[in-house]
Amino acid sequence: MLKINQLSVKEKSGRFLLDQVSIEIPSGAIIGLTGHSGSGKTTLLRSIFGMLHTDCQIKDGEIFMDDTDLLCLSRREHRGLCGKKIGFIPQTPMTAFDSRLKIGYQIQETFQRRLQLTKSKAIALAKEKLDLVNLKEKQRVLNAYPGELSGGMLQRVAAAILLGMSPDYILADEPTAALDEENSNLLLEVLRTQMQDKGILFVSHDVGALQKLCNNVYVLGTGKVIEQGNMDQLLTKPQTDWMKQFSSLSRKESQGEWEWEKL
Amino acid sequence: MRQDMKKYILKKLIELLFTLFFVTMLSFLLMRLSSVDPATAYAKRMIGSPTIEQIEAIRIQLGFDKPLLIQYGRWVIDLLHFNLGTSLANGHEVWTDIATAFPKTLGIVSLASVFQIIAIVVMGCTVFLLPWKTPKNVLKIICILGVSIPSFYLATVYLDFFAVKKSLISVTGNTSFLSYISPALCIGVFGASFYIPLLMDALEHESNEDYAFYARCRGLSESRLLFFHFLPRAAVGLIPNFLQSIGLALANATVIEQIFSIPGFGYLIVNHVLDRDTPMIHAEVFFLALAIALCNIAADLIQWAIQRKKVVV
Amino acid sequence: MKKRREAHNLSIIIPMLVIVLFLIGYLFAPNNPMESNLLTRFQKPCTTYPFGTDQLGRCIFSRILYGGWTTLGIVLGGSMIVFSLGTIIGMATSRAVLKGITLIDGLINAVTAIPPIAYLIVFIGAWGSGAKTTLFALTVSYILRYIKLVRTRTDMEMGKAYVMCAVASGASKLRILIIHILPNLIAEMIRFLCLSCADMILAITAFSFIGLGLGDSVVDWGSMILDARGALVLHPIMILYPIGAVILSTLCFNILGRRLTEKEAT
Repeated sequence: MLKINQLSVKEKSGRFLLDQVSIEIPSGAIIGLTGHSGSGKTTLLRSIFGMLHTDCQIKDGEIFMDDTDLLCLSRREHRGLCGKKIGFIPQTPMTAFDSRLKIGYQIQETFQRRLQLTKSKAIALAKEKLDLVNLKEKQRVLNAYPGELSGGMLQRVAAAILLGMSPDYILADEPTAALDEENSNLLLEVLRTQMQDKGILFVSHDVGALQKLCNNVYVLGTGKVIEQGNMDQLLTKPQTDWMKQFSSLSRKESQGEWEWEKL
Repeated sequence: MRQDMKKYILKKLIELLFTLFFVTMLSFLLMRLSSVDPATAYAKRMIGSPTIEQIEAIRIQLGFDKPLLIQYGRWVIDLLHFNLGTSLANGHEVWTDIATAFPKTLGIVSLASVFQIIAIVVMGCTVFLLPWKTPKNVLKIICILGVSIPSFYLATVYLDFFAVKKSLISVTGNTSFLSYISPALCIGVFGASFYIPLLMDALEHESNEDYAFYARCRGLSESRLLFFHFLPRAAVGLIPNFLQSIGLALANATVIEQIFSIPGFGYLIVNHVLDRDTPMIHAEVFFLALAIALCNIAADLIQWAIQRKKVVV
Repeated sequence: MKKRREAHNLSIIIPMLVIVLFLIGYLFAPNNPMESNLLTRFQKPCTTYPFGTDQLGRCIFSRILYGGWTTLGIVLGGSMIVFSLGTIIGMATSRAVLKGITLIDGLINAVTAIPPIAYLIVFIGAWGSGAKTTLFALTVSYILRYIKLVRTRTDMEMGKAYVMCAVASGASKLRILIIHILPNLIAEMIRFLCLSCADMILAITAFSFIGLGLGDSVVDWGSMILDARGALVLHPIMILYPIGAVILSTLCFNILGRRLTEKEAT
């Protein structure tokens, strides 16, 4: 279980980016996280990875991964856990990789250095995982530069790296935001089938995805958890203003038709 | 793609020719406009108290009586035949003097560049890897000081301290390789102080990019990121700039060589300017411009190649 | 936050003050900088001679102040010319005004390929050293670089949205250049001028040091450093004054140049 317990993060001007936030991500579950922009979602992710900006300070709380408080670890130890125990799916796949180096090199670099594999074993592992995410032209992908692949393909490369590293927990930062519907469904499919035993935190605005995938959804608002529960519950019985707006918008959307309203 | 590059190189070569033409023409033109008459100066040096007829004879002999364009034309033709004339001061072949002096300057400038690169990379990376903010600020302050201190002052202090007080290096007549180290260090300090903050800013910029965040989330260490991702990208941006500064260093060498008494190109120029030795000055101006312009072309080419790659990919 | 603001403003005001002091300080010089008196050579600092005297008995403090007037006079005077002429010529020859003459691009690139120090060498080589030559050479070389900067930036700005809006609302080209584009360029122009001044001070002093200076009738820091070097063994303090002046004035220009553009960024 990845347990965030009463986490408070303060920035230099005194504003609390996160205020007593508590979230539980059990192994094998997919937990949703949503909220307006600036509500603290990114800050939460950064705190878990130990990569807060230097202006920000953790004022209170703990982050327990199984039995270890991540906030008590040294920088090096914390970095050691990244990738291996906690994985990440980036929001913008197009800028997530170093544009100067081939994808193959970057995947191989990750596997070599993090899993202590030899170069050939790393490449073999990469090919194996690319298969699982349905990227059939493996050699082409490995030889390509990030700029030569589409957003959907890059996102699947990220998923492949996750499969290779096999972390216990995965944080997905709006993974479908930059994708079209087809690629989005493909990615969600991978998340659902290949990563069943992992604890996933799924940050998103995509109502359909949140409904389909998540057991439990947290709603963040200005640094606090303002609502929590099953997605259907939240949509039908919204408590806060934001949730009310969100649910009314998404109701229209899920009908898939234009709606004209009298003002 | 090749076609593209050829076009660009051609354009740059034309610019080169134009630069050379401009600078040498400027040199001739300014001589003409100067109040000191080279024929008189030469005559005075050779004869002591020359008569007007003697001055006129010398003027005709050296070709100073012909109109400017003809003088210039003749010089260019001679240049193309590798004949740069003879020095007015010591009668040496201009070409020989330059050929012996130039490699020395080149040696100093190259060594200075090596020192700079080592200093920039070592300092920039060390400060980057340290987790505290203070070393970065301290280094930046040191660098601002570094570009404000005249390099010739460093040279003199250096010389006076090490040579005179500690007798570690000889003061005159240096031609061995070891003697290049001191002037190279003095030139290098300025360049390093200039580029270290630039590298620091570039590394900082790379560190804040999206790919850096994701790479850290995969657990790659800071040093791995620095040496295999940030540094190469930052360096690529700085290389064209740096090559241009090599050209600048060549010009700066004039002063430094004088101080360390190294008979390099700069030393030559200064002495000939003091002597109003016209043929030498024209030739030296030409070579200086050529060397600097070549560095600039190399810098521009690399810059252009980088930008092209970015657009394609 | 306020403390930072104050510190930031101070870091702009203090260098400016120092530069102004160096420029007009000579008006308050206690003694004649050229007056030599062999009886009062190498005196220690005292009330008549705040920095003491040099090897010819001249007041060092007064010489520093007059040297400031000379050096900064040339540097700032040159900068004024570069700024005024350069802005006009730069904008007038930008691709916005003179449509598509690539020859000018090549021309400008060719003449700015040569660094200012090299220009200085060429001019001094032809005309001999002296204050006028130095001023002329520096002005010419820096104006060319400045023109390149103005041209490039003007062209860049012309492509931006706010200019298109101005054109759409019927503004004349002159109006666009002066009222819309120029304010956006000011910061970079000032930065260029400040950093150029810093380089110019170093160049002038360096050349003066090796004997290609401004002449005997003017006081300048470079020759003071040269003189002080000769007396270094017996009177080591003497060299600190002119060197201090050079470093301080250059430092001020460097700080100003960086601070004024940093402000832009925030």
